[in-house]
Amino acid sequence: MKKLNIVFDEITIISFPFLGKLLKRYYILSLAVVFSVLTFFYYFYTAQNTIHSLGKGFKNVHEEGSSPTSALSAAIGEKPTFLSEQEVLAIVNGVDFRYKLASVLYEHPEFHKLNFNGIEAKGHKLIGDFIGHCSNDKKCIVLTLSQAINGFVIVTQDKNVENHFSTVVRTRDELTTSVILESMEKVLIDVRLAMIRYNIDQQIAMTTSLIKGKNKEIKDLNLLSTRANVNKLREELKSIDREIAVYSHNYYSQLEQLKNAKSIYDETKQTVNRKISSTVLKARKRSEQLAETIASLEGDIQSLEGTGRAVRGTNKAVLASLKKKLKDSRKEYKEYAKYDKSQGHFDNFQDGKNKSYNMSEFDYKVLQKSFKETKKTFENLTKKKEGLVKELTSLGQILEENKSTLGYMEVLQSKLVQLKLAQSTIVSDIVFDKFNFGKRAYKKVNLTRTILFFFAVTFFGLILVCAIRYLFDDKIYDVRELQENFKDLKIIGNTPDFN
Amino acid sequence: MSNLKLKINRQEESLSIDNELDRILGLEKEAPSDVADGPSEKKVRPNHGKLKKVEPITKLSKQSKKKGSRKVNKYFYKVSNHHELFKIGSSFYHDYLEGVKSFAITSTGYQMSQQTSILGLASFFDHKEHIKIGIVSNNLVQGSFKEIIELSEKEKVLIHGDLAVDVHNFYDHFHFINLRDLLKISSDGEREEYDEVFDSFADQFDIVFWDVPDLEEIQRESEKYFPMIMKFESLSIIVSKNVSSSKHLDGIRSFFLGYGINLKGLLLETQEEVNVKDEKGKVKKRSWWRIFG
Repeated sequence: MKKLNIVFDEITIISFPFLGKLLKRYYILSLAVVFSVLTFFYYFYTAQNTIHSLGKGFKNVHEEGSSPTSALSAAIGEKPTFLSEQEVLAIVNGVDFRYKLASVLYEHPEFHKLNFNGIEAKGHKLIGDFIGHCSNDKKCIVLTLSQAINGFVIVTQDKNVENHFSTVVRTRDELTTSVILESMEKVLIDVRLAMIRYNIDQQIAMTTSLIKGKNKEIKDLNLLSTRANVNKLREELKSIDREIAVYSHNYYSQLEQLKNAKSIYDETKQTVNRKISSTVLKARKRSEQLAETIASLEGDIQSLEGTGRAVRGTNKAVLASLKKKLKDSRKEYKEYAKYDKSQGHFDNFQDGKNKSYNMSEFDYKVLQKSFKETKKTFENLTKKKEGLVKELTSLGQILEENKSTLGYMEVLQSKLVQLKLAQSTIVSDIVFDKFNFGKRAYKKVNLTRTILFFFAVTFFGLILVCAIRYLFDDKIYDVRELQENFKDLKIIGNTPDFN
Repeated sequence: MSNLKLKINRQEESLSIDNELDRILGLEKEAPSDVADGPSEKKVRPNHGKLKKVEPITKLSKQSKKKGSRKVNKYFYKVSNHHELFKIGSSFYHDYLEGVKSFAITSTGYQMSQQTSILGLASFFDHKEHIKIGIVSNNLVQGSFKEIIELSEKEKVLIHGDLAVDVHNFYDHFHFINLRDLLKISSDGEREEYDEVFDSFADQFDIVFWDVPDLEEIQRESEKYFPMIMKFESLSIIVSKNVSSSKHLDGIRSFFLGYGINLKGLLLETQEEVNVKDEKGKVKKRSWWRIFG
C-alpha cells in the first residue's frame, strides 16, 4: 500500500496519502458523498427510459444516372446539386415535414397503440392523454402529434458513402418506432418531390416573367420586323446573286464571242480589201525573167555538153560559167518563187474571205446587239445588289446592337421549354434502402458507463468535498498541521494520562 | 479518611515495585518523602545530559515544619504514559532550573486536561525534588483535583500581611489554593495592594502551577485577572486533536502574547473524547453538522 501511495504520488498531482487522511478524518461525510452519488446514479440509471431504435438508409440519386430527373436536368443543361446533410436535416426538422408525418401517423390503422412519450420524458402518457384536449379535431391532433414527434427522428450523413444518409427513429415503443420509420420514408419522399416541383414551378414562373418583359422590350424596338426584313433582304440578295451570276456568265461569254466576231470581221474585211504590193509585183517579174534565164541556160549547157568538145579547153570554162550562172539563177528563182507561192495562197484565201465577208459582218452585228442588252441587264442587277447590301448592312447593324436582347430572349424561351419538360417528368431523388438496420432497445446511458461515471464522480466528488471541508475545518488534527499553523509554538509533548 | 489511609498504605507497599519500574524507565528516584527534610544540597542529576545542575532560587519545602507528614506521591506512578510525562516534565524542570517558578497551563476549553496535566507535572516535580508546590485553580471541587482535595488537609496560610487563604495541603506534596479566594482578596477595593497579593502568594511556594480559567472568563473580567496573568512566567496551552480549533488556539496565543507572557509551547491532549464545557460549566454538545467531520 505504501508503494502504491508512492506510485500515485509520483505520477499524479493528487497526494493520495493526504486524501486518505482526509477520507478517514471526514469518513461520515465521505460515506455520505459515496452514498449520495450512488443513490443519484442508481436513480439516474433506473429512471432512464428504454429506447427502441430502428434505422434505415437512403441515398440522394440526384447525381446518378439512375435518376430520371437528374438525367433530364443534365440533358437540358441544368446543373444538379447535392442534397447536403443540412438540407436533409432542414427537411426532417421542418414544421411541414413533421406536420405531414403526423398526418400520416394519424391515419395509420394502429395509431391508438402508438406511444408518443418523449424518450427522456418522465412518466407515461397514453395516446388519449396526448390528444384528449383536441376532441377529435384532426387539425389539433395533427398539430399536437407534430410537436410530440419532434426529436424522434435523427438523420445523419454516411461518412463513407457519398450522398448516403441514415435515418434513425428512437421512441419508447417498438411498434411506434417501426410505424414512424415506415411513415417517414413515405413522407420524406413526398416532401422532397414537392420541394423539387416547387423549385421547378418557381423557375417556370420566373422565366415566363422574364420572357414577358423581354418581349415588350423587343416589341418597342421593332426588332422582330427588322429581323424579318433582314431575312427578306438576304433572300432577295441571294436571288440577285444568282441572277448576277447567270448574267455575268453570259456577259463575259458574249463579250468573248463579240471580240472573236469582231476580229473575224475585221480580219476578213482587211483581207478582202488588201492590194498586191510593188515588191510582190517586182518579185513576180524577176521570177518570170529568171525562169526564162534558167531555161536559156539549161539549153546552152545542154548544147555544149551534147557536142563533147565543150568540156575541153575554153568550152569547159564556158560550161562551168553557165552552170554557175544557172545555179545562181535557180537559187534566186527559188527565193522569188516563195513570194510567188505565198501570193498565190493569199489570193486563194482572199477569194475565200471575200465570199464569207458578209456573213462575218452579220454575225458580228448580231452579237454586238445581244451583248449590249446583256451588259445593260448585268449593270442593272449589280446596281440593285448594291442597294440591297446597303440596306441589309443598315438593318444588320440595328440587329447587332440588340443582339444580347434577342439572344437572351432565345435562351429564355429555350429554358422555358426545358423546364416545362422537366416539370412533366419529375420524380423524387431520394431512394430508401430495402432493409432496416440497427434494431435495438437500450438506455441512453448504459450500465457500464453509469458505473464508470459513478466512480469518476465519486472520486472527484470526494476530493472536492473533502478539500472544501478541509478548507473550512478549523480543527487541529495532528502535529504536522499544528506545526504548520503555529510555527512559533513548540510542541512539548502529550498530556499525561492517569489510569 | 479511612480510604485515604488504605490508599497510602497500599502505596507504600507498592513502593518497591514502583522503584523497580522507575529504574526501568530511567527516571531518577529520589529519597522517600520521609527523608525530605534531609540535606538541602541535593544533587540534580541531568537526564540525557540535557539538564543543567542549577539549584532553584528558593526551596521553601526545607522550612516545612510538618515533619513526618509527607507521604509518598502515588500520582506519579498512576500516570500511564510515563515517557510522555518524563518528556514534558523534563522540559518544565529545565525551565524551573533556569529560574522559572510560575507555570500557567491553559487550554482551548478542557479544564479536565489542564488539571490532569498540572497534576502530572506537579507529581514529576515532586518526584524530582522536595519542593513546595502550589497549585492554583478556580475549580477544586471538580475534575482531577476533586479526589485529592478530599484527601487534603485544609489549613489557613498567611499570604500578605494579615491576609490568609485556605490551602489544601496534600501531605506536603501539593498545596491547592482556590483562585477565587485570591481574586477576592486582590480585587478588594478597600485594599491598595492590588498586585502584591499574588506576589506574596507566589513567594510562599517554590513553584506554582496555575490552572488558567477559560479565556472568555478572563476577558470578561480582565481587570480582575490581570494581577494573576502578570504572575505567569511560562504559559503552556493544551490542544486536543480533533477538537481544538486553530482559531481558538490563535485567540489564546494572541491574548497572552499581548501581555508579554512567555509561551512555552503546546501540550497535546491525546484522549479521543474531551468534554468541552461552556461558560456555565456545562458540557457543550457538538453541533449536528459535526457528524460530517
